[in-house]
Amino acid sequence: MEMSLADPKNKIAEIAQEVKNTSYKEKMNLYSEKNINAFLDAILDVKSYLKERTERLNHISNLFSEVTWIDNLNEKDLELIHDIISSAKELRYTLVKIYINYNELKIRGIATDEVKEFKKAIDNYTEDYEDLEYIFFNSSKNKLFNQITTGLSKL
Amino acid sequence: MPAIYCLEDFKTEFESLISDKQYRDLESDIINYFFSSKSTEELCSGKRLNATSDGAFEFPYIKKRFEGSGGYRVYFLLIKKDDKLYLMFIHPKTGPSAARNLKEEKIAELYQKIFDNIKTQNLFKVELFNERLKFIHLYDELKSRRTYKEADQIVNRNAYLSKKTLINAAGETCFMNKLRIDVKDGHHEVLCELHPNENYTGQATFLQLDKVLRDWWPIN
Repeated sequence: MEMSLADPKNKIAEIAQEVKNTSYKEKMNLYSEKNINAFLDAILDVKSYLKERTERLNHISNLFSEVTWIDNLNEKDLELIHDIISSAKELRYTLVKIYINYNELKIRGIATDEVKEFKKAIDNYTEDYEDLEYIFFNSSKNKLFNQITTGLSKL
Repeated sequence: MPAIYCLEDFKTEFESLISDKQYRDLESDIINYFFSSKSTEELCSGKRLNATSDGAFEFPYIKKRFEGSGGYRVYFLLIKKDDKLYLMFIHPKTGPSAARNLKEEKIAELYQKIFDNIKTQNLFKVELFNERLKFIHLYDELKSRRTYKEADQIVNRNAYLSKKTLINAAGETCFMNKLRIDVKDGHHEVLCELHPNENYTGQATFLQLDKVLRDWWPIN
């Protein structure tokens, strides 16, 4: 029996053809070099982003250490160090949120080393500004340390 | 490179850690950092814990992070004028013995302890022997001294002890008048003269300095 163009059943054939074509195209795309490259590039971008953040954090941690080697600090200097610590605490909050997002990738096996290094850098960074707080703003410790350091100079 | 000493706390922790395979890199990390001909100034790296103290420039108390797999934290004191370094404590940040950062009380306690132990010489000398670290207690080193020159150096090193009141663990006190060198069995040994108090004029008691240093501490 001949099927007319107006026949609704003809629509089924059209749909079937469209699904078939799409399925074929997508299968071809799935393994196409172009798409794989785009995916790999995205992973590399993530890795590069994390590496850059990690290096930046390590640099800031080094700066925190350098602060402890400056002598003859006055009240104004201490106020600035106090500001550094406050900003550092705020930054940590943001860094932890970034880490939580990227940790999802680590769980899926993507950028595992980079995420681990980023986490280590956050931990070191946190330890370093906490040390700064202890070194400069723990008055009972400062009193005792002053006595001991003076004692050492008299040995 | 400065002469290197350590507290018993450091030695105990170090020996415990290197007995674990996980921390087998620790000894080489220490050797590479502290025994690689670095000058005292080059060792001024890390965080200076006593930064706010007068004189911290000459006596930096340092917390250093090693960037190896164990992520070790080393606490040490430098005495620049004497070119001496005192290792005080170490702990890893990863692995089975990983520890959180030292508590503030512990950091202060270590500083007090190194000061006290430098005074009493209750320290280990740390040396490199066949690419391994060797710990020699200064009392043992003292015992093996033979020559007059060496005994004289001990007298000089401990000269600050004379004219000082000492106290022992039982709370008893005595007064150290002076140090002297004697020859015993062909060896030179350092003796100290002890009195019951500063104004005592009677017969003095002489005891070996190393024995006295084991049990008595200066309190002034």
